[in-house]
Amino acid sequence: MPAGEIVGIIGPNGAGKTSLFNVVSGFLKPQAGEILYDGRRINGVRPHELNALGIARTLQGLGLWRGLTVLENVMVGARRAARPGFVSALTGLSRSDRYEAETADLARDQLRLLGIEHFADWYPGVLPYGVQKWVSLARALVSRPSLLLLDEPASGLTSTEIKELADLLRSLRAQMSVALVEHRLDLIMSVCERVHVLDFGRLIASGPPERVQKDKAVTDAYLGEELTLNVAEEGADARG
Amino acid sequence: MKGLGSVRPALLRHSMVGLGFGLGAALAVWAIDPYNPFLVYQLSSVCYFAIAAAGLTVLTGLNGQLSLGHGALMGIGAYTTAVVLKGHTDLNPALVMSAATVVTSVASIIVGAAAARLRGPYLAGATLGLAVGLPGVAVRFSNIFGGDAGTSVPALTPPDALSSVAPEVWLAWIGLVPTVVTFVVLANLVRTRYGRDFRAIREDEVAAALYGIRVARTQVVAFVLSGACAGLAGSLLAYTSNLAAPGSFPLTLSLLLLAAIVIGGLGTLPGAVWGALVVVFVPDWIGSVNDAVHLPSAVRDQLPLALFGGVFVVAMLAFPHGIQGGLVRLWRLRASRRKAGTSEPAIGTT
Repeated sequence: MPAGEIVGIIGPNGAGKTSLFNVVSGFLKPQAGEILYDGRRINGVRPHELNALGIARTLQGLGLWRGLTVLENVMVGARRAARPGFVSALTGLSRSDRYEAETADLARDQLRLLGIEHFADWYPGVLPYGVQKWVSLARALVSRPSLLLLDEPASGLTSTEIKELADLLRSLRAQMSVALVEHRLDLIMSVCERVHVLDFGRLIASGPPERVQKDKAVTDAYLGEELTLNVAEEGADARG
Repeated sequence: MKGLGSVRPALLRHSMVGLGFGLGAALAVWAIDPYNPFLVYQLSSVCYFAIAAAGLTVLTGLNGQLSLGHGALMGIGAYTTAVVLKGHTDLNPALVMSAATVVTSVASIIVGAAAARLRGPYLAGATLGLAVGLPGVAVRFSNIFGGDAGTSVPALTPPDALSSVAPEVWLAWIGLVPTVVTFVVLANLVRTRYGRDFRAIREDEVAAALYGIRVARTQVVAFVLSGACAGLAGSLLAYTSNLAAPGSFPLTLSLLLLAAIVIGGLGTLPGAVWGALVVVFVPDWIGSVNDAVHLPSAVRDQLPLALFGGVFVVAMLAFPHGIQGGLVRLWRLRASRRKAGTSEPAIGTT
């Protein structure tokens, strides 16, 4: 997966898209093969180590912490390597205070970038689904990952919101690589440079979206599902 | 736009509140004593209940680990106090309480490591086993712990310079010190990333792990922290009752602690204080009301328990988020009425 590219991963239900993410993020162990990241083998990485590697992942069901405010959600995402220890937190040393203030600033900046800073002190549960989605993106982006794994970011969004999401993803390209698992083919086709198609855990096709769309194996796998979206032209002018 | 990057010294703020509260309480105790020495003695009980409840509310309320075994952890603190004092009767209470805290923390590492692998009813069951089993250990090794009768703990006496101070006042003063320290320390911790991590784990462990939180380790940290509070509370309990005995740490003590944090307001530190006040004073008031009305003894003996339960049920119906939750709501109502129209969203949970 090249740097600075947006790669789409599609496939019918049960094809193993989310499982692929789970393997990369250490929730599942690969039965065979290697996971290479930045030339390093990261097989057996534990989920909590991902963040330090520069990989951030969003969850299908958002996975926001409902008892934490929007700002606090993003602050957890912003955990940095240099953080004060337990004793300093217990005794309330100024080191700990400074860390808190700096982390809050980082989180606020990220919220502002996504245009949702006015929700900072709200609990996510009371916000519209679209805003919650942005919060979960803010939580992933605030650590400035070099690889962002997005699991169905478009699900539950309106078509306007999907357009905004596509704009956001394109703007991220300069800073990080993005892997996108998605059912909404229009989003995939409009933002991805390359698409990998999985079916029953096998890679059945990969390449630029226009080519993959016409691939025989792909249409067979999607047999019975509609592939007649007018995505080709939308994708073309989006890239223009 | 509000307070961007303003560095507020948390230590200073919490210490000032803690000190102010501590000094106020110390003065109040001194003023009450000539009229009602028993009330002063009860306030010492409030101190150790508040310490234990504060630790438990961080564990159960913030981190989401339910413990039915904190009464037993208090027992470890109390027995440590008794055993340490057996040889050296006039050891400094600060030293003794520290020893009790450390010993209980070490025990909590073991329990916490097991607890981090358990969830929900399994965790409740395991900690329940602790509450039921541990007093038995004290009976089994009666040569060290004094069996059913327990081990006595020498009463605290004020130094010669303060010989005019009554013993119960001195006890309450000594009790206020660890109470204030515990609350200041926990207040510091809860507002930092540790507090956030605790709560994030409570809400969604998978997401917590994905965002770099070491879930199991953080759960053990929370357990040890709360165990340390229980140990400290147990030590103070031993000083207060001058005894460490199996009967002082029944299962009901663990349940009472849980009741205290729930009725006070789960996951809030002020709630731990409200809860401690409730579990110390409400049974006593019910008892005195009960004595005042003349009832057949069969009814009189059982009535306080039923009334105590009734008070809890009614209180939880009236304040589903505990006393602290109710107070916060009242305060917000007043604030929003004053500013009519402009509503502020909820900030934080503590």
